Amino acid sequence: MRWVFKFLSACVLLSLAAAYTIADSYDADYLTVKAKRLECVMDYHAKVLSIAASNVDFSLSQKAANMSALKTELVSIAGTGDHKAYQKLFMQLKSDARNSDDALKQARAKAAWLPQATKDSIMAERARIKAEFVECKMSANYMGAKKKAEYYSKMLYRARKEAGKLSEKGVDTSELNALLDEAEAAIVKPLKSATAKGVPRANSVAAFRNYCLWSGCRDGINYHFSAKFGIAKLSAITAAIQQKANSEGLSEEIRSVQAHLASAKTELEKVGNGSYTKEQSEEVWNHINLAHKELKGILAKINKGGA
Amino acid sequence: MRPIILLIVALLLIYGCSNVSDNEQQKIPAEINKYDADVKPDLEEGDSYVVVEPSEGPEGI
Repeated sequence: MRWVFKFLSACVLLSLAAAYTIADSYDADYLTVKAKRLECVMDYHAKVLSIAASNVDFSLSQKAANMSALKTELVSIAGTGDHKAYQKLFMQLKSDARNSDDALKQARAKAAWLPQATKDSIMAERARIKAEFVECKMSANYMGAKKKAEYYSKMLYRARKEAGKLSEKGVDTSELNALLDEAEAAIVKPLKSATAKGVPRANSVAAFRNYCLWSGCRDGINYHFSAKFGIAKLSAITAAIQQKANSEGLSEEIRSVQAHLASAKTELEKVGNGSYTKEQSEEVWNHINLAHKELKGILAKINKGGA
Repeated sequence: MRPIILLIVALLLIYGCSNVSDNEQQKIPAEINKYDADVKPDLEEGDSYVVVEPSEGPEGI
């Protein structure tokens, strides 16, 4: 019989490993497709810098090489699915792209003295690489918006499963489910519509840019899903354990959790559909994290550390 | 005697039901654990549109 247990244990471990791999591959797939647009921009920078380097200022060839190296690094980081590392590199890339353009502007002054034939040849080359860039960007935007909708759907599905598990444990998840439906309608549906068959690809540009399930869309709708879901989930759990906690003399602790959640909600309402500022994000998440920590403490006390 | 028996049965039923309900209430916190209460931070998605594209001058550079 022992081999049967060993076999079953191996199956469980393998299925757990597979679940983690799938979870990681969602992020890696999404970031890899999302990075395509940036790859187009960096390629464009590198090519324009190379033209300037070979005709006006050779020192720009180093900047072109740096741009290409950053692109390679971006592809590699996207492949790991690490959002934090991706975001960090993105910030560096933003700054490098600005510096690259400044260097190009300086080189431009020297180009005024070039012979007309050279200028004509540069213009033709520039027009060719620009056309490549426009095509690259259009295709990347379309693929990016499509993948974004797919990734968001997967994340909402995962959250729905989480809500389902809580519901099985007796927690009232009606607010969580309403939130999931709202996120689906406000973010995922418009993204899917913009990339549906027969819709002009240009629509995907606006969609990719305007719908963020979390934060980071400069001009569009930022849903702040994790904050909203976190607040609703912690509120629902608090309500489910309140009676038991009160009977164990933990009513003060419960009130503190509720106060943090109310403050987080108020701060989040101030953010609205905009992207977080650093201060807003800290304010909202400081309260959520405190509520989370205190609630875990209450659960541990109720369950006498057995959780 | 009959009303007394009925009263005792009724009292026993009420006691039994209230006990079941207490157990149900106690079951909830025992089943929700610390990990159910975990929260994930919002992703900072980053807008690739804010990356500067190379500007164009009259000489093509």
